Amino acid sequence: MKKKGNMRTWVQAVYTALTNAYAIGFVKGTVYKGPIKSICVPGLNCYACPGAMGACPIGALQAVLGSSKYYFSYYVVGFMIAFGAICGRLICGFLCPFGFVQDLLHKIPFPKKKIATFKGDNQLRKLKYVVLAVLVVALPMLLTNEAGVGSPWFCKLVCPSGTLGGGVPLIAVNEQLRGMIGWLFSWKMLVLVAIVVLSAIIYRPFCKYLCPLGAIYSFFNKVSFYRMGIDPEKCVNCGACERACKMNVPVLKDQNHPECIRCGDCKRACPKGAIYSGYVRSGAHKIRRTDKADLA
Amino acid sequence: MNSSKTWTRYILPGILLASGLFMIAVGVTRGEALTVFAKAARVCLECIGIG
Repeated sequence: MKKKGNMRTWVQAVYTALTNAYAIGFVKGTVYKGPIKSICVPGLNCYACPGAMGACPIGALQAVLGSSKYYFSYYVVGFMIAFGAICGRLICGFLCPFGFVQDLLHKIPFPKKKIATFKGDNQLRKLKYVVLAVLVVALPMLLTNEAGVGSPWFCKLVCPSGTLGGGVPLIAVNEQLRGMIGWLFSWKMLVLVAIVVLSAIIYRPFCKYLCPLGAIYSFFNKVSFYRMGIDPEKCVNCGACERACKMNVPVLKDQNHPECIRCGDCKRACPKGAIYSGYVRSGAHKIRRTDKADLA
Repeated sequence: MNSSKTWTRYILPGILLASGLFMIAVGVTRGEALTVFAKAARVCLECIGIG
C-alpha cells in the first residue's frame, strides 16, 4: 500500500526535475531560451523559473490574452483542453510541481492536528473560479495600457509558484534583479509564506482555493479518458475511501468529482479493492459497473 | 454499453482531444506560439513579483 503512495511522490519528483532541467539557469540567474519554451506544460510551472523547460499554461494564457494582437488564445486553450481530455485533474495529483511542493509541506508534522475541513470550506473552493475569471481572463484582456497590452494579473498579484520557482532563485543569484525589489515582491512573498504555512496544516490550500489551472481541469474530470470508479459488487459502504481523501471528495457518491486530484488515496484505503482508476480502454469492463445508476 | 455511456467515455473525450489539438494548430498558424515564446524566453518580471 505504502509503496504505491511513494510511487506518486517519485512520479512527481521525476516530472518536476525533467520539466525544470535547465540547471545552469539556477547558477547564472537566467531562464532557458530554447525553442521548446513555447510549448505548454500541463501543470503550474512558472516560466520565469530558471530551470523551466516549457511554458506555464496560466502565464501563457495571460500573455496571449493581454497582448494587443489577440482576443482569444486557441493555442493555450487547445493545450488545456487536450491535457484535460486525457487526464482531467490527474495532472494536479501527479504532474504539477507546485502541487508536489504542497504535498511535501503537508508531510511536515504540525504540533496541532491537521485541519481536514472547516466551516465555509466548500464555499471557499469556488474562489478559484473567480480567480480564473477575474485575474486570468478579464483583467489581462480589459485593463490595458496605451499600447493595448494587459498585465498577467494572476502572476503579478497571487501566483506563489512564480515567487517560489522564479522570484526566489533568480533574486538569490541575480544582483540586478535584487536591486529592483519593491512592495510587490514583499506582497508576493507574504502570499507564498501564507501558502507554505497553510500547506503544513491544510492539504493543498492553493489547489483547493486559488489555483485557476485546477479550476480549468476540474471541468474535465467527468469527461476525460482517465476515470475513477467503484465496483458496487465489492463496495461495502464502509466510508474508508472518504475518510482517506484529503481533498474531501464524496467518493461513494461521485468518483469523478471536480475536486478529485486522482491521487489514489481512496483506492489504497479501500479494504475491498473496490475502487478502480485508469484509462477507458484498459479498464472498460470495470468502469462500466461504476455508474451512479448502477450504484443506485 | 449503451450509447450515452459510449458518448461520455469514448466519443466526448475523443472530440475534446481532437478539438484541443486542432486549436493548438490554429494557434500556431496565428502566431500565438511566438507570443508565448517571447514572454517565456525572458525573465518575466511580473511573474516573479518585480514588474
